[in-house]
Amino acid sequence: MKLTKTQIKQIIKEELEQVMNEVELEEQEAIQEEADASAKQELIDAMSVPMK
Amino acid sequence: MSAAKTAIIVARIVNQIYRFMPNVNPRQVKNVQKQMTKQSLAKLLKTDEEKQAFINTILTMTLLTSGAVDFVRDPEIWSPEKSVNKDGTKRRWSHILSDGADFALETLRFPTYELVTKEQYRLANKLLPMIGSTVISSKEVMEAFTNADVGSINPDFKAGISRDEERLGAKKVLYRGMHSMSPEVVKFLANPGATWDMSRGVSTSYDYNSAEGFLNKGGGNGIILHMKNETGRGFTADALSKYKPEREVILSGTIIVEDFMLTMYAGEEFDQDRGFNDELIKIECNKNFILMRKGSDMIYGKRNVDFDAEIKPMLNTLLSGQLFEFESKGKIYKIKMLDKSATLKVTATVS
Repeated sequence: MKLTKTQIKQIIKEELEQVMNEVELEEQEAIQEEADASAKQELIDAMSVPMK
Repeated sequence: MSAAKTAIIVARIVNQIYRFMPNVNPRQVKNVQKQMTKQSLAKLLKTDEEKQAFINTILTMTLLTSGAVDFVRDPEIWSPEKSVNKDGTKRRWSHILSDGADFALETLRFPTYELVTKEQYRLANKLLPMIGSTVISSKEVMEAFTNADVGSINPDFKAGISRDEERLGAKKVLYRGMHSMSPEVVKFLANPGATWDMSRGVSTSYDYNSAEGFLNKGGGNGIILHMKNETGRGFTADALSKYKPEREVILSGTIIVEDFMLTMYAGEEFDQDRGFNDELIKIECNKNFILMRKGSDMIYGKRNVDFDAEIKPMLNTLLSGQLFEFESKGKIYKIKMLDKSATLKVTATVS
């Protein structure tokens, strides 16, 4: 099967978009994980202080 | 039974002794409490290992409740210069022990006049997770209570405990108040299913008012945790702690959020100058409803809301300080959370 230049360009564009989306999703997940870890630490530190 | 478990059982009995007000001349109250403590220790702590385990338990509880929490968390930052009281004097055990703990330790010949050491903070750091996660039933403590025979010293105390054995058991509902919390923590907790590990041991109370009082001590975002402790974990520090009214329980375990009730305030943006309306919008939500009011007018209300599809994105936006847009009754609202205005009540379970 022969692909035209336009088709190749389209495939590359779509693949690139998909990779970019995956990277973005991974980045968002990493940011979320970091935020959760920081929230958990803040929570434990706050709960360690006696309520006096 | 392990020495560590025996130690915690004896601590529960001594705690009840110091919660008890015998019907005697006020000047004799302490004497009666001391006699009952002395007899309990003599009858229940039979080996040196059990005595040492009891001492270590009391020292650990004391360092968390009235010592320096930072040193308990990281004993390596301890230094003799930092281990001082507010007036600058060197910190001795007698400065931070409650009456009951002080007497119990003296009875076991622990030198309470000595300075608190780094090694003792290391010990507390090591023991805290175990002490906070111990599960002991009221039946086990009742058996020890009967063996201690403190009723021969004060029949009223024996009768009181026999009438309500649960006093010797673990507290099934625990509370914790927090103030000045970041929006990230509010976001993390306003999320059913959120889990976090508190196995290193934290401070809670079985008294809701103590938790609420602590919440109101500081500004900013406030949080109250309502924790169902069905398994009966925790060490009841209570009257053994120098801060007896706080009804303190040392707890370690894993917490899972079940539900929440969040209240916060937001300002409505004007389209013209991107300023904010003076009249604030009160937002209330839990895992399946949202209610927004402006003064006495309800501007938005919805039940049976999908948490992931609607509530979570709304909270993420508002708690990140971004503008949240929604439509209600044909009007577009653009609102932004008022900084530090969130109050979150969380229902969770401990396991």
